[in-house]
Amino acid sequence: MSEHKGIWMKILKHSILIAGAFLMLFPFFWALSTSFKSLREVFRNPFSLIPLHPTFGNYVALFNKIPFARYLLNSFIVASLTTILQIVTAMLSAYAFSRLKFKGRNLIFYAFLATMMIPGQLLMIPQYLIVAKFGWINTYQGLILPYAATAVTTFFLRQFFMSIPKDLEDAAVIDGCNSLQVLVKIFLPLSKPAISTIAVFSFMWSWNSYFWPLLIVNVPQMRTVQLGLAMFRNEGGMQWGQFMAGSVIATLPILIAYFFAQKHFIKSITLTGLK
Amino acid sequence: MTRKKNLVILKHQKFRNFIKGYIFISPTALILTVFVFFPLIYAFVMSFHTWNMSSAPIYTGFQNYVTALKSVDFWNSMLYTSYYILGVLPLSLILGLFFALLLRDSTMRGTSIYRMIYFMPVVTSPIAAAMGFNWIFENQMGIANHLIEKLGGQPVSWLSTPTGILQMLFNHFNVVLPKVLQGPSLAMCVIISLGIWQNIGYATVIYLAGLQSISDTYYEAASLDGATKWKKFWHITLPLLSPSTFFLLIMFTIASFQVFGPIQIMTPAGGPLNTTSVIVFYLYKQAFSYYNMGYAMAVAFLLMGIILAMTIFQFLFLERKVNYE
Repeated sequence: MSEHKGIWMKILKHSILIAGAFLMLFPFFWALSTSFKSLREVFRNPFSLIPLHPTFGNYVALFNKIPFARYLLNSFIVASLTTILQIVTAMLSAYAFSRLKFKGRNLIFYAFLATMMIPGQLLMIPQYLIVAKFGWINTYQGLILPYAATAVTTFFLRQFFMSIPKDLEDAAVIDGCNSLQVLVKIFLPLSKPAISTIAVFSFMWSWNSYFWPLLIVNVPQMRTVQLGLAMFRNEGGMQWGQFMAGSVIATLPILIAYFFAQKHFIKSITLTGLK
Repeated sequence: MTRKKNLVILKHQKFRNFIKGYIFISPTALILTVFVFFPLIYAFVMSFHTWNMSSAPIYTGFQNYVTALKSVDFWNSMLYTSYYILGVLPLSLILGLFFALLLRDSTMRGTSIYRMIYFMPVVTSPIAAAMGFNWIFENQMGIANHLIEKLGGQPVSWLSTPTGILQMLFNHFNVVLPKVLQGPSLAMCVIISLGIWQNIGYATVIYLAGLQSISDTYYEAASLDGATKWKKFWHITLPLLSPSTFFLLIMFTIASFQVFGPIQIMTPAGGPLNTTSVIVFYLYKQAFSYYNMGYAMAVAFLLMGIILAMTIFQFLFLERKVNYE
């Protein structure tokens, strides 16, 4: 009897969860479906989930009409360099905060931590003015350098470094390694999980960012994917097929990275609350 | 002799560590100084100046702050921001908890698949997601209106109706509500639904982790005392989940205060009668459309003060209720 009830309970649970999954996935399917419809089909038959005459036309147009390839390249350059720089700067400072004893260390550490409390978008006007002063409007350095180091990554890596036993590096020091060598030869291989977590988050954050590029880019060839997409939407009228094609491409790299890293990714979110 | 020598070596060592420490933190320190600490001070100083970028800034004391606090547009944008937060927060938390509770059952199959699917919107770029929602809620060809028509309803101008949803309800009774109570416009509701869609997976994952850390012994003891499922939920699950709830509350509040991209995609002009012009949107317009730089920085500081005050409030008053086991 109770087993019977259990089965029905399970079926009920699964149907609710599947309904939820449907709501979560529907916008993806809908965008994907529309991206394969011609302009005519979008107007005549906007409501079919499977396109009657699937076409790559929207994707082709995206790369012919606007410099979408350039946007993608820009985003890849900015997101990868931001990620690499964040890892390098965080490794150096996390090592200092976790292993070196020096005057003012704690004070500086807390000052770094305090920056995490400042909502990013509120500093963007003075940041914009500074970057303009440097003459970095419409440049990669303008897009990258303000985010080359963050308190979050430093803090995250420091916590990880604290958990690495000291004996390991003592042996290396006796062998004559200096701090930089210890960092590269001992800490780097041991903190691969932490570093890959940071890499995924930094890349995703940088790839998805919109407000900062909007402020400091005003020529088409320096637009990132998100900015290019938004501008295209503003100028493009009713080209829904092309808009959806653009959205699909803008989302794809992150979704692919997410699928490969997802187990790891979700684990580190639950451990640290990174977002 | 050796002792003295050791002392010298020790001092030398200390000095070397000092130099080394500063060299190692210098890249991070440089970036944070130039792009966080300095802008913070700069913005604070400039918030006391009137400056339109074409002429030199003029010191005007608290005038920017006074102007902001007297400005109807500023308060309206605060109201619209509040609507957004009050719309996004409760539903994200409740739905996240609901799905986490369903997924908690360890005998259930496919938990990790559901979790993976629910988390997909979280990693999606807000711009692309806003485009998708924009298309779903498009006036003529959007699937939302199509479904409404199929069910026999009238199509809705989702993104261009300025009337608040509560006012719409009260229109049937010919009652005009005061502005604050009219509720978010339909356009804002669409943007809120996008916010919820992007938050649920995150809340689910955090709650799931919270649930998994609750020891079974609590439930076993309660069962012995004859507690019902509801009682267990109210007296064990919910209180023991309060750290997760507290964490999500703070994360979502801070993020919701800064919503911008989706607003600009779906309602580029700030919505019908400006009803989606949230505070960051207002700030952006003031700075980069009207070049009221000093004023915009004063608004930014007011907003920072509000966010900080809310976070402190949450820590002071809500954390007391948080049960850290």
